Amino acid sequence: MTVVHYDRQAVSLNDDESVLEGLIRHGISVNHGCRSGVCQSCMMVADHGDAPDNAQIGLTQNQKALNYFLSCICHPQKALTVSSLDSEALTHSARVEQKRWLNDRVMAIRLSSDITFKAGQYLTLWKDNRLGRSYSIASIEDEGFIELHIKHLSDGKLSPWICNTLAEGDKVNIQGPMGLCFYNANRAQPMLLASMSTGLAPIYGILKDALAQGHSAPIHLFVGSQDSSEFYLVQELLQLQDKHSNLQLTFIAKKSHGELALEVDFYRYLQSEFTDLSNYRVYVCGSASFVGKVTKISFLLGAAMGNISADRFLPFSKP
Amino acid sequence: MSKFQSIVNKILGKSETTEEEKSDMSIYDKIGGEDAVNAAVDIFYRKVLMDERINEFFDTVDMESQHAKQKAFLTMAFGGPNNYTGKDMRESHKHMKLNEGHFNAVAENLVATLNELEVPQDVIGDIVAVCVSVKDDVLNVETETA
Repeated sequence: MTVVHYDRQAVSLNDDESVLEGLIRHGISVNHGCRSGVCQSCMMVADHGDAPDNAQIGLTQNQKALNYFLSCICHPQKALTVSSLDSEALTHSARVEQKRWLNDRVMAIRLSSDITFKAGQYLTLWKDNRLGRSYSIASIEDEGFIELHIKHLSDGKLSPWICNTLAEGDKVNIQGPMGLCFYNANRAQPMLLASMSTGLAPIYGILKDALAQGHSAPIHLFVGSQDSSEFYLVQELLQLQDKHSNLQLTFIAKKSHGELALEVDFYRYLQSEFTDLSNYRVYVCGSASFVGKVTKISFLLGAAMGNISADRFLPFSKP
Repeated sequence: MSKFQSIVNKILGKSETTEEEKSDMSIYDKIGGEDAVNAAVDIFYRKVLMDERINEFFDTVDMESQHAKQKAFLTMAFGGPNNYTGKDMRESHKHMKLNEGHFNAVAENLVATLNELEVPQDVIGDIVAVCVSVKDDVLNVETETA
């Protein structure tokens, strides 16, 4: 008899009973629909123990990597601790280790905390109990810190506080990590990375992760911005390109001064650079409209939808 | 054996299904269940996005959720497990003001997808029949009684 732990309750599964059926029998409410592993509404996450492979049919690589599974078709042989996906991510304390401006509007802030994360995921940084904003993680775990890129918005609620008030040594609460946009490509699979503005934060993290894990196939990185003066981390990126012959960088700005960036339409240029993306792993981060357009271009050029990972930055809206 | 079936069998590590087994199976099981949906959904979604007659209904910023909808549609069309009711079909399509031309365009793209995957003609016929059975609900017209 297998035991499933959920929210401090232990549920013993009967023979042939799925995790979903067992939880429901114990009066635990779990979203569900088809009960046949198709609609995915009963998706949960295994916090301890491995979800069986056949309970992960149809999930994306990244969902599998985070131990997501479909509870209606999950018949575990060993004990599992599970939780629902809509339960809130845990809050942790973090210490501000370093702050530095990357350009005149974007600040990098480095935090230390004991959380485990994957570069490209995001977390919510809380000013107090009520005010928090989500930022993507631009560092990899081996670097020993969490780096976030904060765009200073003078009318913003949180960014002026982070940039001007928060000091090195201060403690802040962070919640997460969350999100499915992180590196897990096959080492020999070519990659297309595309970012606009501070969409570079998760893309930079994913790039460093790929290189650290020995990604050997070509990596094409397209970095976009409105004006070429808004680029940041340029030296760091160029150094990575010098060190890794498989990395090819393209900077594109709507308005470009100097030699670094092409002054072309980002989407048309991207489209003209590739004829077939069917083998590619694609990562795209930026505003919702940027992500939508690049996703569509990549998909129509043959990239499988399951091979496109996107992080859409949504403007903050009041609940 | 069709190319499609052989792809699906390869994924599942299965040997060929015998004729005897086939006759007892639903369309969904016959063409390979969820793996069949996964093989078809990208091809189908690309086709509708390229089709000027209908792409306005499919072109959205959130392609991931649109992709999930296409997957649910194909699962239904292939006779797989789903919870669609006629009422759901009406409600979800009502605001789009669809006509017969739109319906036929979607069906054409579906048939083209299935042909590309070398699905046998009789199975394609069964799948089209499933689509036709929800046509009045999708187009939000009164069901004609014979």
